[in-house]
Amino acid sequence: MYGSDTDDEEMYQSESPAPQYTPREADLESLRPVATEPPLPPVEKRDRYGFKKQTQYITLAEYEEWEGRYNGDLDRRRKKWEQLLRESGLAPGEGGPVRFPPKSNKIKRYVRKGIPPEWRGAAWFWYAGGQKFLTKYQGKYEELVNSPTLPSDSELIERDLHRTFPDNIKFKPDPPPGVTRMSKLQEKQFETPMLQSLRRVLLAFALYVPKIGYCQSLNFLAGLLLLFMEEEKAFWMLYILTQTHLPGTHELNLEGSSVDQWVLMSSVRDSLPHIWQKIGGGLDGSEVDMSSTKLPPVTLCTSSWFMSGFIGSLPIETTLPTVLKLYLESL
Amino acid sequence: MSHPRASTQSQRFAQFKLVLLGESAVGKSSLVLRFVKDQFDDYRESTIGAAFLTQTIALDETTTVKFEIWDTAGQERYKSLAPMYYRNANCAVVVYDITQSSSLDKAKAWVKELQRQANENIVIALAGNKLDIVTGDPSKRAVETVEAEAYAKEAGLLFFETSAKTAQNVKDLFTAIAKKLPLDQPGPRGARPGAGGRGVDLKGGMAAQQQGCNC
Repeated sequence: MYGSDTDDEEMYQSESPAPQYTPREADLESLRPVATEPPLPPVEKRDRYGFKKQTQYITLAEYEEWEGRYNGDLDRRRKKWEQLLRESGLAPGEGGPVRFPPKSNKIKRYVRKGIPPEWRGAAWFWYAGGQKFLTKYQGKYEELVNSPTLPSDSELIERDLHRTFPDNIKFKPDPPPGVTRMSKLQEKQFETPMLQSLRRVLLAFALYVPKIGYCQSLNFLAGLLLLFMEEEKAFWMLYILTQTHLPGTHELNLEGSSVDQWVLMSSVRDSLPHIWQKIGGGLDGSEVDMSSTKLPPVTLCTSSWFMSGFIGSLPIETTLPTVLKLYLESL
Repeated sequence: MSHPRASTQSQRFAQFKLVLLGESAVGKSSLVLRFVKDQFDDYRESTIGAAFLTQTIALDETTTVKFEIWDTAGQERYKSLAPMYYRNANCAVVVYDITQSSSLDKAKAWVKELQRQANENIVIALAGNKLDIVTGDPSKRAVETVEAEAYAKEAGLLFFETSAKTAQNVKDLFTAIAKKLPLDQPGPRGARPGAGGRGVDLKGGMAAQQQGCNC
């Protein structure tokens, strides 16, 4: 799926791979009963996108130790990018670059090594050709948002809004002190602007593309786009992504998703037979039938890789370059 | 409920495939998270595709049961994948939300499908989740206990009302399933009634500690 050039292979590795999960004492600690009244939890520290730094896999200390190195990488990458843009006659203005150099192996390498976070949205939009849609269908998004018709999947959308990035402060604000679960009324009251944008984007999309409507996982794709660009652009990027890069993947019968899984499984079977021996069967130790034409159950897990673009499967800092690679390299 | 005991003092270990089914947002992943990690999040991300988790419980001093759990996405369009979940499943938990009556209809449809298509001897439990909400505010209840219980009895299902949030009845639910499963086939570690052979070894006990492969 990705480019096949292999020059400079080690250069493709990020200089600071995202922190990996290792089980630790603290996991067990949190399960032990607390004898005394616990102090009020401190306000959770958030990363640059609004996600909690600490997750079930990573402690705050681990995150911040990695972040220090990563920020150094980012500074170096930013200088490189600035130079590249200047050489291409595209010096970034005040608000960051809008245009980027044409696709090339060099750009591919630069993208794989990371792009300044505040430029991501612009780079996604540029390389996916978003501007063409924005210009050609001017007013369409507004028309959809103002449509009196609700798509048939509107209730499903509503159900998933609060289940989209609940660990991100831009989607789910910290609840008022002492409140753990907000009532439906409070949820409405404390809705963030971004969650309201997410609702509009998903409703508009379901109206515009009835073949897909709403499919769980679109909430994560749209939500991620919204973290990096304005609403109307996010809408068109979701459209481009589902039409061009992941065609059929989210459609009603998920047929495209099965095709994706077939390609993945065939590649594993042909290129990584020792892995295939482990995952190609029923995961119950039974013999793997090399000639089977059924998708193995492991695809129930791997399907989300494609459906939600690795969001939730990889750490966010690993997901983000992956999304750009998809826009840049899959055509 | 009784089941045959091994005549010797030897340890018994059985491994079973369990599948969770039900309408979206009824709390399937939350029930699993409570059972596997004894945790609860008020807001959980929607499950895409499925998640695979394992949990081992001791039924008594000599009997250990390991569940391989397939936690599935609830949206209708994922239904075409369902046979992959319940193929060879020994047991199923069909979940509905006691504050949403339509979710019981969906649960009934799942039970019907399982009884028609899945393993003949599959043990099915019906779980009415979100009990904590009606405990706080009885007017929120949309499915009466007696109604669901009568249906479960008629369809031959185990039945519990649960709260993943407070943990009420969650362990009981899984224990009841384990007790109803055929444990009378003592064998080496990893022996599994019906299938046989070793399961995938996810780094020994690691899998149970994780929230799931989430892959």
